[in-house]
Amino acid sequence: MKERPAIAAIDVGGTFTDAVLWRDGKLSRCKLPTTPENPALGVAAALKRLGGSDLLVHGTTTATNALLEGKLAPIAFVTTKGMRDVLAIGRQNRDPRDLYAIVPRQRNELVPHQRRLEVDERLGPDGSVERPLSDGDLRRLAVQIATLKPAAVAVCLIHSYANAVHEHAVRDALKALGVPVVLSSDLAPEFREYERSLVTAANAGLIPLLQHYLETLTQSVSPTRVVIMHSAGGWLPAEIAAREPVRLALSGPAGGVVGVLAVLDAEGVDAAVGFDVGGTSTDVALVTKQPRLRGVTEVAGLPLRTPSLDIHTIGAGGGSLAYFDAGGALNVGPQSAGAQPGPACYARGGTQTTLTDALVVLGRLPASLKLGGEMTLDHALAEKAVASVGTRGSVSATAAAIKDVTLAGIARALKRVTVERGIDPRNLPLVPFGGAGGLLACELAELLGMREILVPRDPGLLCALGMLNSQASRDASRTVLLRDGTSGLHPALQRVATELEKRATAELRACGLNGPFETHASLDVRYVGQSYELNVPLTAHWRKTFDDAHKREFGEAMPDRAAEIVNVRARVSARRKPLRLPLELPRKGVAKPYERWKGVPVFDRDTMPVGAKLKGPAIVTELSSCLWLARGWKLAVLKTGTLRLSHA
Amino acid sequence: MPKHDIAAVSVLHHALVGAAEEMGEVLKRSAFSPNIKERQDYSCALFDARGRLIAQAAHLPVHLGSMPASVHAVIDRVEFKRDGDFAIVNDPYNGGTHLPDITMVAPVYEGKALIGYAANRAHHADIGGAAPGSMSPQTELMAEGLIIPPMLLTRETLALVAANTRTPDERRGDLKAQQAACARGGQRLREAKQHWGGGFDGLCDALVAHSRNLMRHSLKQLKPGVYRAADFMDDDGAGTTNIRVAVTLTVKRGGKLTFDFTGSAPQVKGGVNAVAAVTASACYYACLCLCDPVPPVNAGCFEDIRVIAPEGTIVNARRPAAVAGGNVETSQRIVDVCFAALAKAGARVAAQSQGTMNNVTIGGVNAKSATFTYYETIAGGCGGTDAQPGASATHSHMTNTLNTPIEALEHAYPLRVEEYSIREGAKGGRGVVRRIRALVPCEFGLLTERRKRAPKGGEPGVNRVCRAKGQVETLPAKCSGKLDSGDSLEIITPNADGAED
Repeated sequence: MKERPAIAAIDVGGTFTDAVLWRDGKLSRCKLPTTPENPALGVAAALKRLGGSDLLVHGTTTATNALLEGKLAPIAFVTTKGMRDVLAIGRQNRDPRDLYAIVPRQRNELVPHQRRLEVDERLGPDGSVERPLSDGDLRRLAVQIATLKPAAVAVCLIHSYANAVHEHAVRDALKALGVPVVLSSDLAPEFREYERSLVTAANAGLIPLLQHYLETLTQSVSPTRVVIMHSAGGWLPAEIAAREPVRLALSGPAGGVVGVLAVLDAEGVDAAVGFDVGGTSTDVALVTKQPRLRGVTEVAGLPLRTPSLDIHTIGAGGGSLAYFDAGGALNVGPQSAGAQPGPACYARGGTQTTLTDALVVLGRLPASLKLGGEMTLDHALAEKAVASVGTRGSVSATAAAIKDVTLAGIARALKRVTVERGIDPRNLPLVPFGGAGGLLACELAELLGMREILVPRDPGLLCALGMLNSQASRDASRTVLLRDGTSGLHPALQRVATELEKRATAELRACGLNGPFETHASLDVRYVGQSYELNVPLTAHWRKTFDDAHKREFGEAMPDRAAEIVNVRARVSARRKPLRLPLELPRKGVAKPYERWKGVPVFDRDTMPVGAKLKGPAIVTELSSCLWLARGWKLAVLKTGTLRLSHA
Repeated sequence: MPKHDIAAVSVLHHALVGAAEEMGEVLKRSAFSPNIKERQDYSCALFDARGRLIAQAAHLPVHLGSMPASVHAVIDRVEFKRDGDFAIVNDPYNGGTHLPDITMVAPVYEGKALIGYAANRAHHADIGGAAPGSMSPQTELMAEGLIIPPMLLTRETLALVAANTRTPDERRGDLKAQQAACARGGQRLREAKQHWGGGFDGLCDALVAHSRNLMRHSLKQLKPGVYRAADFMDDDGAGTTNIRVAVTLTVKRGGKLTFDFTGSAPQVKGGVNAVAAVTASACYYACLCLCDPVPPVNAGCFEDIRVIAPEGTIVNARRPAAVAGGNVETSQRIVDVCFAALAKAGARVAAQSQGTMNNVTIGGVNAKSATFTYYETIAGGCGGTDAQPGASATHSHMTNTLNTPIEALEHAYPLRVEEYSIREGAKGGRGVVRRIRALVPCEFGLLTERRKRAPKGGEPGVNRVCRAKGQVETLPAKCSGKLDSGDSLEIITPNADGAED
């Protein structure tokens, strides 16, 4: 049998850089502090610590942070005459959070007015040239742009998704500048000019940053080949990622979803709800065997049209601050104590109350616990902080209220990814991960009527493990706006799909990734006259599938109405067998608590044998995480090492 | 309220407002009018069994007071028989606001017990009447479109509504989308009721009381006293100009407010008359803007706010006055005077915003001989404060609808957008230029404001037609007209000031 190459996966978080290595059927782990100035240094150090590898899978927050902090490179934006302000006008509405604001916040236009330029041209909605682009205008544009000295150029012309001829002409005219030129017709050829302009501009603004970062990284780990986790949950070769960095907006959380997917595989479950409680935010996702993708990735309030896993993020995590507002209601987050000073119980000078402090007061984190194997928690400081919130009730009642408000917010996020998609969470298991997921899992499950929880091994490293278990994949799409009869498959659709698949496959191969590849073609379909589509597989029965999906989602199928195929989508992914992680658990015996904390037995997960059973209340600790088994819940150690919790 | 209940109240609020938001998603994703699916011109809300508002999603402020009015009218007039019944209403003098807004109300049962109502309101792109889009200036309600008193939606009433509009197929699809949204809201309300069981009603009371307390806390910051403010509408498009909107605000110690509109102009012939529910919405909206944090929106927010609107005036018209613009234009002026009075009572307010929604309708027959009607409202400048400059090209106050993307618009209609840009030169938020060329002969209608009297410190808007042959005609604020193929309609929306003096 051919020897499998060594693969490392490294996830850079706000506080820690988590790394895992798979070599010769063995897994090694390592956790180092993140190097915020240049995260590549921390990645290189972690890889060295693990002993190097053939392939490095990397989850990065560089793109996410640049978008969140508004630190994109200065670019120039080119659009059709009359449309210079499309980025500044957006969809003309105010952020719903500002509905009752005295002054609504200004839209994030990404590119300032003086860097937005027009060319005199026009296409019709069918792609026909209504006003040709003149050479003189192109020369004038090139001169204007040269004086702006942009780091990259974004081009988005009206109806270019239907015909890219003018965008190509603009690119050719700007070749001499020697900077990257991003065409909307290449990156996101779908209708709605604001959304397409936005993703094109964001991509252009990220290119100079990511190109630099990825070059540094590739050099510092050479000759290891580097692939990057993209928002849709696959690997993108570093070369493509540097060209299309907007696809990395949810690079980190995507690893978590793939990690949950591995749990599903191992346990033979079809779908689950994953939730990752981090320091400042919580990511939730509905994970199914065929992962659910969205066409829009929302970061920093920007609706970026690029595929991502259906991950919903809310601003509440372990470090989120709790406070009473003027009306006497308790709030948790979105303000956070961050990594510095962190929760009061970290004893790094923080005095404000956080969720973690409340959980300490509630007795869920034993005094003997060492976070990440090192940091202890100061229980007296936690009590003091919780008492300072200003309540008439007892300290423990306040702590319980903080926990309950947080749970309500997470429950709402969970409903967004389940009930709002017509999926009943009560039939699904909950998979908590990240440092604090296990501390809230039982009650969250109860709130949503869920009866089963699966706690993976190494919940704190699940993102990195997910990256390890992922595969190279490439998404491509094209708007076709084709009205079709009620049955059969228009030959043009298969042709477009094949073309998209071929292009995506060639791109993956060009970066040194070999097959075999799997392809999945799908259609975005709506009834003629609607504006939003449902995604169905490209088959001869697409119409019936669509009618059924519409009935499921909206209560009614309208088989007599004409349907319209808006986009053809193709996803090409490498076929890989999931890795089977070795198990180092005792095979027999019973679980014994190593101490009692506030009357509750505390167990060490690494010593719990397969088949062991517990009844709540109990605490289970391990290196990367801590689990609170609430009263009314039972726990069993499965032969995969996963903990299965069930509600009595 | 005991502190231990607060967590449960927050959870209930999240559940209910989440349900109302979800109704909006269902509506948007399954609707057919660009006005509903692209522009999101709708609101969704949940009511308890007594018809009390318990949650409204953050959709459109103009529906704050008028959704409850629709639900009350339906409860009074319609006898629901079973789960799965739906009622519709658009009669402005019987629970509605203006005719294109069709409100749908569905009773929600748990077993045999009525536990509440799910309701949504959507602005349909055409509801019949004299002109395409049903939003052109008219002088009587009958000419504005089909009037639907509260009634059950049956196959027959659906057929009646569809038969009376220019785009019947679209109407049927949109009403189905409204049904899907109501059904989803009802399902979520039932789930919430089941989750909390016998404690549900008490928790709803606590939620409503919490909102009342938060609102009271904000209103108590105002200086007790009597404050007056007045402003004017440009015209009604039918001969009356400088239409006065006046308010006397009384702030009592303890934060109870009365907005008394005595002194406002008598109702007018042209379609800018507001019904009382619209006037109440504007007052409620202005008070919500004073709150930090904004309370969960439900009936509790409005308990301490009294609105007096004398019958037969521009702020509480009598049948059969035309009302298309009352909801969209007069409502903005009512907000302007509410803020002016609140500022005198010590509230922090911004400079006046554009004060109009710039309603544009264009209709005609496309190359495939099908009737089309395009309706849009256009954003403008939002006023700033000393601390914040004000937002440009943004919808203000009573509305928050999205634009129709150019690429969606040109797919749906024989029109071309030639320019869509931000105006020059305001100290605060800047207005928008939107110029649309007709590819076939069309009729258009405009319902706009702030064309003569600019927002204080800002600049007025401009409406004009640029004929294919080159001449430019300036149009009044409210008018109808014709475009030949090649003619363009250009709307320039008002600029706002940077800071309130």
